Amino acid sequence: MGTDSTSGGPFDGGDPIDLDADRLEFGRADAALAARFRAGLEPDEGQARRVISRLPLIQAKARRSHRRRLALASGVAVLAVTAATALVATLPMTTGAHAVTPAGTSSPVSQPSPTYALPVTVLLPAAAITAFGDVRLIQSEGPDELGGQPLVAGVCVDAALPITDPDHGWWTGWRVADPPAKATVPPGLVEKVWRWADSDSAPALFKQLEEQVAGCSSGPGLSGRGVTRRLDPRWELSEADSVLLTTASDGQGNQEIQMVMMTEHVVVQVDAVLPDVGKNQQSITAHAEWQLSSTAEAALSRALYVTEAAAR
Amino acid sequence: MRMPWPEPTIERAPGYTDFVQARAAPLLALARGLTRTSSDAEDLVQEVLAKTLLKWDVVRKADEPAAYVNRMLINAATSIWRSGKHREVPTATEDLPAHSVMDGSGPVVERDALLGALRTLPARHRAVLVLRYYEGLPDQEIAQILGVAPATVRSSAARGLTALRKVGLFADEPV
Repeated sequence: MGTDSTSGGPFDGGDPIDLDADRLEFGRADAALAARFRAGLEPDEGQARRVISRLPLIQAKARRSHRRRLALASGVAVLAVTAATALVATLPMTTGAHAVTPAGTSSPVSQPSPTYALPVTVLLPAAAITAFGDVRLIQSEGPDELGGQPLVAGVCVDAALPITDPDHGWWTGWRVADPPAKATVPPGLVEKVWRWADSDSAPALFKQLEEQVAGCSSGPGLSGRGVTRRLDPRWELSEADSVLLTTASDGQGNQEIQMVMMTEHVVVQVDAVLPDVGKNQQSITAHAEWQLSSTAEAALSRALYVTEAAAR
Repeated sequence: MRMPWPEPTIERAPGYTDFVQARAAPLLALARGLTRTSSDAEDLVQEVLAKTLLKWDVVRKADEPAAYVNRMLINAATSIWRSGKHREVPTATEDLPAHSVMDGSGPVVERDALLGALRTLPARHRAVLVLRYYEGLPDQEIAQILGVAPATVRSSAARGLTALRKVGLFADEPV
């Protein structure tokens, strides 16, 4: 990325550059430059007052982040536990290589009726139970509609991405119903699904997330977050064309693990936090990865099922 | 399983409001140097202050809370452009105001001139200059923050300063 300001100068392949030129007279020159920068960057009083006056908004933003973290890490604040326990796996599971049948049921017992005018989240069960082996997951948050909204996503940092708004999508939090004593099983997971009718957007999103991981792999992330490491998935996945598996310390003694799956039209992102695993954890357990990938595959299946139902 | 964290509120964060009132302006200054627009700077500061509230117990017990939060802001700003998600197009130098950027019209003009000129730089050059001359960080530390080699920091600083001088800034400074 260049600028016109350097064209014709020593930075366009012309004269060699003296990289230390600005350090030779560090004392006087740097002090003068520092003074100019301080004067030049100083905001006007109105701008600072505006930020201070937004303390309620800042608090609300902190609360939203807090709730998301809770959904990830501790699986609390379940609003519909009673309803959830009354419903059993309402959506078809994947037939992937390591997929399992939901505990307590061998097939979906009910399916939502397609309703064309409704957002896809309405077609999702209000509260559902699914299971992977001995781990039961209860839908504890959402689903929140992501379809038709500007796409905000990220593996290391969430940001608005220059990608077409997804046609369908949702955000859902899951919590483990009966947390086992061992910390190798994430107590909660968050799934995000985006689906487009076109076949360009999903690969474009996946590519951007991959590029972000490359950037976050070179140094620590924000707010104490550690270096993000990309791992090779242990299993061959049946549905997805591409898979991205990452892990990073969240800066609070927990290990965040994420999986992104992509097909031609759908991107699924599932993330979870393993509490108190220590600071130097660089790999994830097979059990945790299995739970993560199973959730992602199930989400992929739901994405295909639900959005096709919505389109009928 | 760990117990749920309490909901973050300003009432449960003693000293947080005082911290924001004291640090809003310096944080904005830093953010103005690291982002392209004033509104981006405000958004960044609010984002970081929300994260600060989330981990207020950690921040207030830090040796230097102000420096700790400054680092949070720097990490947040640099993570975005370093990840390549937020691609910037620097302002073309010909789009700068026609008047001389250092015509002695006063501090407001000088401030606008610096911000305008910084926006003509690629994000990394801008970050290096701001971290070096506003934050006063050594090149080695800047290199660690940005995930580049110290030599890259030096070259970015040299290129950035040269570009700023080309548009009339710092022309009167000793080099």
